[in-house]
Amino acid sequence: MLFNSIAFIIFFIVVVSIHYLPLKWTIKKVHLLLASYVFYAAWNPPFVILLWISTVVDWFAAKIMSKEERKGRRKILLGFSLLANLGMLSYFKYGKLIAESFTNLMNQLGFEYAAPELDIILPVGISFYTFQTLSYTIDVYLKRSEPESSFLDFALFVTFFPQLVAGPIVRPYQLIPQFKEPRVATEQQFSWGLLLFTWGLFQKSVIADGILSIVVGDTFNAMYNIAAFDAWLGVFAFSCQIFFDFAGYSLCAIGIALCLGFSIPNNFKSPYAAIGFSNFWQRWHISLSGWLRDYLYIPLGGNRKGSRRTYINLMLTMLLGGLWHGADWRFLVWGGVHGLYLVIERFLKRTLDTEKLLAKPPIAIFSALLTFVCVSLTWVFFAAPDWEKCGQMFESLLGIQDPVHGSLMVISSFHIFMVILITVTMLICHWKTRDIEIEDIANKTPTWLLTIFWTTILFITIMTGGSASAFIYFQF
Amino acid sequence: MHSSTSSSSDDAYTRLLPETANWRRILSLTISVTIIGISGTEYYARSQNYPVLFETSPDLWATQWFRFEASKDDQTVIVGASRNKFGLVIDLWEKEKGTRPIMLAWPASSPLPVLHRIAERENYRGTIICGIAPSFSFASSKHPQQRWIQDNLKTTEILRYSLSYYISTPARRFLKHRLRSLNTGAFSPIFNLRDSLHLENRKGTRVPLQPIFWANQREDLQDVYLESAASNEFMMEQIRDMWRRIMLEQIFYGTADMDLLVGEYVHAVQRIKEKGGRVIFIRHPSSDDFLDFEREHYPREQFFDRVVNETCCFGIHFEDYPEISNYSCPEWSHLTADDARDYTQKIIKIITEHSPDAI
Repeated sequence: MLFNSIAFIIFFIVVVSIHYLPLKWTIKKVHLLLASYVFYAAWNPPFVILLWISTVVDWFAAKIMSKEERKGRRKILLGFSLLANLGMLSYFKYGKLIAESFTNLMNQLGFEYAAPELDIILPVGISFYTFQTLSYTIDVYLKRSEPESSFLDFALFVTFFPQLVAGPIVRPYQLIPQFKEPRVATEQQFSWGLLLFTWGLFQKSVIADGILSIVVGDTFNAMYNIAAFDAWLGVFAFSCQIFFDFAGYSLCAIGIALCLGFSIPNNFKSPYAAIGFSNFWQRWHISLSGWLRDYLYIPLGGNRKGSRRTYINLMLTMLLGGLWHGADWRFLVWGGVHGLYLVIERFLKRTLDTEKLLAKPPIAIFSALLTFVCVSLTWVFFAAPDWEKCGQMFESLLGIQDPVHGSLMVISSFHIFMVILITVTMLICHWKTRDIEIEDIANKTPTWLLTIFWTTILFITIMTGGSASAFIYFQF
Repeated sequence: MHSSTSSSSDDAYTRLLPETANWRRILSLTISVTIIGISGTEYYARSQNYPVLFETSPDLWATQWFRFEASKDDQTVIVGASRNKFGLVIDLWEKEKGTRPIMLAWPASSPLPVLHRIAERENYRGTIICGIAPSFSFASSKHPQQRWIQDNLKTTEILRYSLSYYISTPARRFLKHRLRSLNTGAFSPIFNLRDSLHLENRKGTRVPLQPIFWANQREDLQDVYLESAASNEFMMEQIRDMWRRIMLEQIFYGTADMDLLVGEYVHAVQRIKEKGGRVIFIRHPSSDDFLDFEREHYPREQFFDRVVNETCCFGIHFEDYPEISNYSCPEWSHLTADDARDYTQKIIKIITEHSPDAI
């Protein structure tokens, strides 16, 4: 069920209405759990079974693990949980890629081999809930946390519908304790939650879908090379689209949870105002980068084992982070380029006094813009549908024309105006809000202005309407 | 150590909230002003008699397909590209023939994938009006738009079991039929901004297909040309820019392997005929540059005539019938609402004269 669909609005009204009935807290939690299963099953009912498997396996693995002192046995239990969760993820997400890559390799080596064609449908949000539930088992294994005593609370943690299919990836200690006592949103929470939900929907439906997706489609699917100006605009359009799409979803999730009385942490913090790449990852998809840091980078040794090992750990983390995003080698390359950026940045920080340099505002602004451009260039691997279009886009960015057909101009004047307007406005807003939270902005805004803002975005979102299209991050 | 088992929620994560005091006032004002805004737009939409508009989305097509599945075995259907949606008026068809066709045509699409799917239906013995738009019916499979109708067929199978679809479809129908202000073609702020800015494209720009509302799409997939659009030369030129892009794509991707493609048409038609069904091919009118392009790149003897002859079906080419050969399409490709009514009547007459029991 998409947040930007009529079905969801009806579902949400029903869920909120029941949640505020004078019922026992346990009944309300059962209701939220069932509603979450309905929310997930609305796409493809059989895939609910995968959620149940993840829930049951991790519940029992952690339970037995907590009573087991023998290290070997604990390792086996952790291995079982990893195998079950990552096994499902590998089959559904990477099965086709593995089969195709193996076939290509065999054929290149001169063996005639054809893998059976796999027509696998990817269960929505499998990467998100797999990582969420894995963090629980790993935490129990590492004795960072005790196992949960209530199966209902644990099942709700795995399945909680606001953040089930596209995050934020919430840690057990952030969400499970919230299920312990009855929660009803205050007037302030409910209103603020609705405002965040509206703002998220506006970002998704109006900016990302209504304007930017058209430009991205025009530029990344062109039949041959396009004009350099159009190519650069296309790249910036995608940078904005993926931000408004994903940050919009995260805001919707936070807002919906808040309307029910629950708190979910932020997933974005003015990412395009980042100065440098490590700073970017502290601001973009914060819940994933935090997960990768805690469960991959640090266990690999982090920066504790010398500089060479640190570089290797960074590269490994980013390569796997890239592959998490999708079953295509383009995502691996995307992760690799980001890894390389981080390695270079780390090297520069060691050799130059960057802190002193970045204290000067013009240099800081220039560095932020440079970071934005570098990050935008990596999005080409995301946005291009295949390697051919990827190469075509990089050639176009460099002004290289197609040897036979020359280059195309593909963006209408209206969309040129809109992309420039949105990109510039977004960069200024990110820069202005780089160190403040959205709540601080609301605090500083007069009531009348807040009302005008909310009314305007609500009205525009309703009037823009259109058909609901899926969020980009659902495919991951 | 974090404790998931804590008996209280004291240590639970809690979001900071803005301290703005008067949330009740903000919320009630926002809702009130929005309702006033929508009511004002609604009043204006009704006073100007704006029609109900449904945006192009695969679930709209899926609904028509489900209607076809539930229909009688002799149901008439229309397949092909958008010229069918504009040119064949199903209300009029029903009035004239007493049977209402189901529209399964889709923009920029080949009819072949749908013909194949219809051929799979057991006991189907109805009439299929198969509109041929050469640029899409005979395009190479590499052409990206060839995927559109295939995607519809795939989406239909997913929507068959989708709860969201079964909630959204009646809810959207309910709202759309009651609120004329939900006509996005007329009231979308983005489209209104675009129209008011009136920015001409750079010379030589080849923009792909975009949502330009020069027609009103109904729930049953019928497109009705807007009177105001035909006389809006700026809008017409924007649409012609899209056709220029389509022509460029046709040249780039080339045409289909006609031996293979005709074989596919023959196979699908044979299966339909075996069960008692029939297929009537129609080449609808186009004009000016688009017609010149189609004549040059898809000469009828090698394309339209070949499909008609080898499938042994009845075919109507607009150039063969003086009564339908002189329409002028304002943006080169589609008939206006008035012309469409006239054209439909004439098409029905031609079909009836040729085979009285066809529809």
